[in-house]
Amino acid sequence: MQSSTVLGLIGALFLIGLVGASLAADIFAPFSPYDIQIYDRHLPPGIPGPHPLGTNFLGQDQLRLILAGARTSLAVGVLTAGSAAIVGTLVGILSGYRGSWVDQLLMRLVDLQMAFPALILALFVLTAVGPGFANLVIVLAVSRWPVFARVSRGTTLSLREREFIEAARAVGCSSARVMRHHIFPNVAFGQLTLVVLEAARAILTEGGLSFLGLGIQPPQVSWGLMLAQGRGYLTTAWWDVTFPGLALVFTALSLNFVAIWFRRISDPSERTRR
Amino acid sequence: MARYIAVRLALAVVVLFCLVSLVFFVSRVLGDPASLMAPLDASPKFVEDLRRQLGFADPLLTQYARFLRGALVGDLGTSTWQQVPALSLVLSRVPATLQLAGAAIVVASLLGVGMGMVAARKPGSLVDNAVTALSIVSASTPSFWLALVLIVVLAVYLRLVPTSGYGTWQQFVLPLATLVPLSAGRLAQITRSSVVEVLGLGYIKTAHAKGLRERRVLLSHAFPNAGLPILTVASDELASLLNGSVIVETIFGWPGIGFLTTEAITQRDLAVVTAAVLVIGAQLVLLNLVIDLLYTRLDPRISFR
Repeated sequence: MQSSTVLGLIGALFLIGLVGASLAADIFAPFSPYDIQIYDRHLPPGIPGPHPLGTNFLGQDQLRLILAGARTSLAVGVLTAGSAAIVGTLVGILSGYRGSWVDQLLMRLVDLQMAFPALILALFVLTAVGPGFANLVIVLAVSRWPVFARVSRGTTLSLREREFIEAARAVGCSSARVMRHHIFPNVAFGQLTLVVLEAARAILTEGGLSFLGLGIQPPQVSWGLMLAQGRGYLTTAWWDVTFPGLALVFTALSLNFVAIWFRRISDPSERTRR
Repeated sequence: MARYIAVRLALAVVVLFCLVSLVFFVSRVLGDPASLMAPLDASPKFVEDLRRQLGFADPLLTQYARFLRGALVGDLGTSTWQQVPALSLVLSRVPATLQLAGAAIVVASLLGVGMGMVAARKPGSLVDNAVTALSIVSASTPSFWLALVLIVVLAVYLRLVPTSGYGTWQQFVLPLATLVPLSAGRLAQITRSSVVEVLGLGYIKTAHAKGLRERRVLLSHAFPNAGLPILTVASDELASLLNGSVIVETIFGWPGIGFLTTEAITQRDLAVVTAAVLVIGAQLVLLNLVIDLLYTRLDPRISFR
């Protein structure tokens, strides 16, 4: 097996394991992530007992919090990348297939948005409108759809010239039908790699915004939020910031590995190269 | 040339106008500036009075015209937190941000381009694998966590550098160590792939056949022709450093725009946050303009349209 396949499988297994463990913890764990035991605050990791990764400043179990945070992160990743991909791909196909003024208008809109300072604009919107899960996902998705639009437009432009599209048109398919049944399936598969990469990006951005207090709000659990809370105890409780951070890194790494794997599967020119 | 610059300038103005409008409508239509500015425990009557007093109860278009007129002459309102004009407060923080972003892009370019060239010369070597590993790992490591780890290890346990602050060269170490890996990794990858591509071309064989030394071939023949994609990525990186050092500045108490913005957000100071968005937006637009002009100088095939 090639190394990209091995890493891709490791990444996929890690993500599946994370979701599985997160669900299993809800059913089997003896306490909830919200259980506060103030006498057990800042227990270090590794000591025998119910807290293998230690406890935080409120005496909450770190492992339990990380597993709960996994669902927040993955939900943000999937929802953000998914909705940005759907909107972006539809716009891209429409733009590439219709051409003329539709294309001009949509692509200028894409250019315009790419010229904006995305992160600081996200900060601004979340400040003005208010933080929270839904607003965060909307802001992140709105800031990333142009990426999908550009890529799918490019693919559509080259597909449009191919024989099978011409054949579809010749037998009398309407534009809408050509786009839906002939262009879309071919564009969508190629977008898969980008979706996974964008999910990783969204998860890291969510962490950063939650760290600044503009993303996920307590009592919801988020790795970025855990890091913000642990930041005050850097010198006394290193595990407060170590494990949520590692969780973020491993999740993003896994998604990157999966993306590299997908790219190799979906692109024949990558397959022959070693 | 003059015409090209004029067109690019006009586009820059359009982008800024759209950004100003977007900022206005997001804050006035989606958000509610009066209740944002009022204390958390303010009575509804207080918020209503504040809204009327600050003109947020006027018709939307009247407010928009007022906002645009203000933006045109650099009046973006007064900071409710520091009681000074918001724009001049933000502008006073520009030098610190530029210093950090500038230092980071210089270090990242030297490291990234250097590693990328070595990797391109020996594909499959240790350096080549290190470049790939660095770019994947650094792309997966959030800067705010890397910053905390560096503080714990280098400042708290080893006591090599101060944890935060601004003024001496030691205080550059941690913010740079946080920002550089990501940019260096991306630059190394693009350098590697574009130099590998150029090295396969015929004129490189000619250069070797002439008996030129490896270093000479790499630096004066291959590199200049691989330069454009590298410049593109470097400018992207500089843009994201200017835009994204918010978190790093906040963690290290670096007195730039990013730190000011997060402070202003905690103080619920909408005027300063607005000014910060527009100043950073203007920086990016200016950067894009400079890069576009640079392209035409570096590659004569790019014509002025």
